[in-house]
Amino acid sequence: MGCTVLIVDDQLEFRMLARELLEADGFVVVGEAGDGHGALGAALDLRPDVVLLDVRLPDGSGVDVVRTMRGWAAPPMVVLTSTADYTQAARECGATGFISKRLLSGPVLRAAIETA
Amino acid sequence: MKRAARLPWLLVPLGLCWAWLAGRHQHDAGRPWTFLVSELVPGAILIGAGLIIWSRRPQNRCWRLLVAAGFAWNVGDFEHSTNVDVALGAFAFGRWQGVFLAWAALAFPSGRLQHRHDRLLVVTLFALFAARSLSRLFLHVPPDVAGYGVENRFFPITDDRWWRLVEDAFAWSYATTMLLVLASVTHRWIRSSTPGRRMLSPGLCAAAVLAAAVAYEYVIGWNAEINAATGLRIFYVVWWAHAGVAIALAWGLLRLRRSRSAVVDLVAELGHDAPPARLGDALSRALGDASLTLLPWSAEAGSYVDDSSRPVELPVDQPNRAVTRIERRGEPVAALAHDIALLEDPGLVNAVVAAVRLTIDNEQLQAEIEAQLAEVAASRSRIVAAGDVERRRIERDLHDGAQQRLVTIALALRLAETRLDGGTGPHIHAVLSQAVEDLGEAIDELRDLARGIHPAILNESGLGAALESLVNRSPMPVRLDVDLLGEPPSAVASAAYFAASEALTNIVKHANAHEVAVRAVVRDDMLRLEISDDGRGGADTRDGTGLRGIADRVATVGGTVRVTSPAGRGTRIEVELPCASS
Repeated sequence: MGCTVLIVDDQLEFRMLARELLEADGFVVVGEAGDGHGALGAALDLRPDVVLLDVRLPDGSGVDVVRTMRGWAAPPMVVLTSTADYTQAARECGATGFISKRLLSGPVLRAAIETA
Repeated sequence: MKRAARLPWLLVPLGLCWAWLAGRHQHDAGRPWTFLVSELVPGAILIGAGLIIWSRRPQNRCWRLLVAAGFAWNVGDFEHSTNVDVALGAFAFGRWQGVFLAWAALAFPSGRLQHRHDRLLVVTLFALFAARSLSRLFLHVPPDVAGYGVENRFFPITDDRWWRLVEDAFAWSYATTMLLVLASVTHRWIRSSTPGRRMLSPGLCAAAVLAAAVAYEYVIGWNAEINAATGLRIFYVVWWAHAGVAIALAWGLLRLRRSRSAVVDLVAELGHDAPPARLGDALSRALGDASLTLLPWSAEAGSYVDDSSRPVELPVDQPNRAVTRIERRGEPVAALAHDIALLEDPGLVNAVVAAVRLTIDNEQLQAEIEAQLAEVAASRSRIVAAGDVERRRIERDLHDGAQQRLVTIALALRLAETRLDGGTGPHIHAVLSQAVEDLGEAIDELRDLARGIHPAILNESGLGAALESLVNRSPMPVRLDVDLLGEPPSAVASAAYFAASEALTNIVKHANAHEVAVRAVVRDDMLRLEISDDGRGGADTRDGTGLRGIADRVATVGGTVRVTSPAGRGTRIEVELPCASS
């Protein structure tokens, strides 16, 4: 079984496309969440190998979600950003890596996980 | 000065002609010029003092009384004329100056008789002098019989009993009336408080000197054996007395004028920074009235208030106390509770009223301006805050709307690209790859546009992260030092970020710098932001919109900007933003 992924983004269309892109590259998307609160619940329930989450969520910052999950000995978390503004914050909060949203693909995600 | 107002100056040549004429008649009668000059001087002093008062205080009626006294004095100088008719007229109607001087002393300082008994005394004096004039016209005996005076052209009688009786009665009545004048002025002086006494003192001096001179001339001198030495002594005493009266009255009135000037100077000195309590104290000191109280009108309370803004009732029915209400267009402004003696000089009261009205007007105007400025500042802050909210909304809409859709489309294209079967030509792959690349550029441009509208990171990660992001995006290396001890308020953080962003943009565009530093520190509830470079300097806040924009933006949160930019030695922008530590 491939690497399981939880996708967290408030855009349903993005989640669907991301799922297809990642699954095309061998990842197994085990769940999706539209906000930070849902992400925390899904991470606890689904225990994915990696959490892929947007830096901006409707109920707060993806960075805050990462910071919260860090306390649980959570899986690697990769932050999706649309700007370089958040790279420093993503590093400092303990995220495994960060990827520009528009460049998301299986190989890019794998590289982000492996280079952490 | 209007033409009519200059007419009193005509009294100068008129008085000179009058004096010359009187002197001429005396000279023709064989009097030496030295004696003539000495006799004419009191009249000149009286007229001169009157004209000085008129020139300084034309509204005061005392000047007319002094001028009238001066001319009346010189009328008597014609009694030695060789012209019999002139001499008789002067003998009968001369030396009325005492009436006018007593009137002036009673009416001092306003020039108006305030009390009924004072008016009665003046009428009595006029009646006495009229009776004496009639007696001298019709009952006087020739000088060879009386040894004094001029020939009686109307009734050449030889019995001088009636004339003597009238003259004696006049002398005693005149002296008695003058003592009553002195008593009236003294009574008014005694009843007055300290400032009132100071005001009335010149009038009291004048009345005392006048009464003493009249008593000496008409009682002691009249009944003494008249010889050359006695006559000369009487002459000099009366001369000095009348000169003294004129000088005392003129000095007293001019001193009052100085009091008014002192009030005006006081207001000018107090300027705009004169709260009612301070103004009241200053007026109290300037006028020497320790009891003076200034009670401003409070529109809110609907009454006069004291220093503690507590409503108070105006004092009424108190002896020696008066209340002057100060109004503007029928609306109360303030009230002055003061010694009643101030009312003796209406001009001084007017000056005080004008001073108080002016000062309180200034204070109210200043308060209104300050309130309007505060409202303008608050309005500007609200406009900026509303602008920030709107920019944040637009940025959010761009991010969540157009930007996300573009990202999604880019992903969709890339997904489509991965799913093209092998039969599709490389041309299609190239088109899709180009479309993805163009979309990427569009997303970057949109992101920059959104960041320019409002940096989302400022709200989501704070000023420190926003400054760091700003520095990282700068095309030149920037040293950053941040020590915020917590996050400043949103408006302050926005202003600081805007200032740093604008300053860095300016440096990149104009400074030609090699080293740039940004420092943000919060100490003592003050965010101090400093952006410095080693560029060419010479920046001027009056040129361009960059630095001015920083100053305007910083001012919306009560901050200040200082720019130091000597030519060739770099630029240092120091921004101070008040903020509560959070």
